[in-house]
Amino acid sequence: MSEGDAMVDAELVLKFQGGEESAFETLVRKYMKDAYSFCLRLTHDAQEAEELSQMGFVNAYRALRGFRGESSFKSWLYRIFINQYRDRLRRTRRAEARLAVVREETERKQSATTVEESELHAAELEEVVKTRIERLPDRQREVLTLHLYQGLDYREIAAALGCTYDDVKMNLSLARKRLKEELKGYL
Amino acid sequence: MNCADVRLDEYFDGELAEADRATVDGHLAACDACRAELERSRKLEKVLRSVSTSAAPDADRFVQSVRARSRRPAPWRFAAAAAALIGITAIIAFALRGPVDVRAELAKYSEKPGTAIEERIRSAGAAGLKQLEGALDDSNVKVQFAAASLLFKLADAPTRDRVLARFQQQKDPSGWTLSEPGIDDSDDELVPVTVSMAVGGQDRWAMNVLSKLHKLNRQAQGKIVSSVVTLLHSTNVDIQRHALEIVKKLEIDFPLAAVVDLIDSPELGEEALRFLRAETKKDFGKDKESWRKAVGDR
Repeated sequence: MSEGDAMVDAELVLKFQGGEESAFETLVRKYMKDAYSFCLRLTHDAQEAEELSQMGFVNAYRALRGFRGESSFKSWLYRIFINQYRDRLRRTRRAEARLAVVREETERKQSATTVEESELHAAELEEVVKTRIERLPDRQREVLTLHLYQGLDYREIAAALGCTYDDVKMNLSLARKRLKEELKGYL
Repeated sequence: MNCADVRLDEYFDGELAEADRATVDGHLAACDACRAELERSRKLEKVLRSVSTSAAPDADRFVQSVRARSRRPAPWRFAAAAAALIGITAIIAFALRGPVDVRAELAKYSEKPGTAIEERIRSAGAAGLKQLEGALDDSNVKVQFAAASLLFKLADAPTRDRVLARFQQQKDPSGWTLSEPGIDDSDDELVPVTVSMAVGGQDRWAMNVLSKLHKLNRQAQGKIVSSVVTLLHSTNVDIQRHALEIVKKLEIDFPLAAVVDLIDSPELGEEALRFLRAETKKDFGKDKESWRKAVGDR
């Protein structure tokens, strides 16, 4: 993100805080595509992604008057989406645990067609990649998604996740190491 | 340079300063293994980026939906805060005789601010400021903000700092605050964020909001209970501690079985036991089975 972009965001935030409601709409229009694709990368469900991204903006609207610019608006916004997503994860994880047996079975079958036998079509490759990313530990998946797909740098990710620069570095490195191993047939 | 010392990921991600990049460049020129690793990173990135996402929803519909779901916070709240920050430049000197009834002046000020009232309160000196600080806890929120406004104008810097610390509630670096819940069904959407804030250490403010939510909205009550019970089972002891605080402070019937699960915790076991004893008027020590039978479905 360029400094100029951050300046524009800061100006829009100030306008909104000064009572100009339309400034928030401009921010929503600017970030809705990123927000939606980020939520979709995390949830793999279009409906869920739309719900998460909309509620993220609703919560941002409610909180924006208290935003004091300690981080960039973009990092702050992603932090809200991350919190929304984590909350959803906590709620659904128990239900998902019940499906774990079914899922493991599916994954075993998937592993049997090893990635090294890379005669798969693009659609299948996409499915494999999605599954591998989904199976990363939460923090690694969040860092990787923010970096690779949302284009945040290490500092912005640290601000969005409320962790340190070194945590970002370590988790990104671990995610890559694991994916290089799991997808080695494609590399 | 040893391969283990090469900051290859940071190099690849463009995170290194010019001098550090040059050092890595030098190493790469001489090291086949690191060059191969870098190439694998490039290939991995290409494969990962090949995964598409479906098209974003229609922008107008999306914005309209966000707008509909966002409620405007009570306007007076921000008007009062703005008044506190803007200040009034022209101060009229006002000579007063006799004691000033600060509370009465404050009540008037909360309805209609004016420099004459300010001057009367100012003339009450330190005792007047003390009463203003006391009024920050007034049950009438307009009086609270009037007191805050006046403290900004009349008090010294340390007092102002204390007032700020009370009202800002900005422990979270993201600077979250929430609008107060009303009696709208959509208020239960505040629950996840509020519980997150409470466990994030913004206890006072978030507890206030949670408390209002559970009084106003039955659906929110269910969400609060399930969110807190989930957090009681967290693997992070700090989150468990905050969740237990919410259980203790909020007058909601939480399932006590979730608290029984904390008995074994080295950090929170004693606190959980104290709470269970107080709630049930019984004591089974660390015998979790007996506790479970005793609390049943509660």
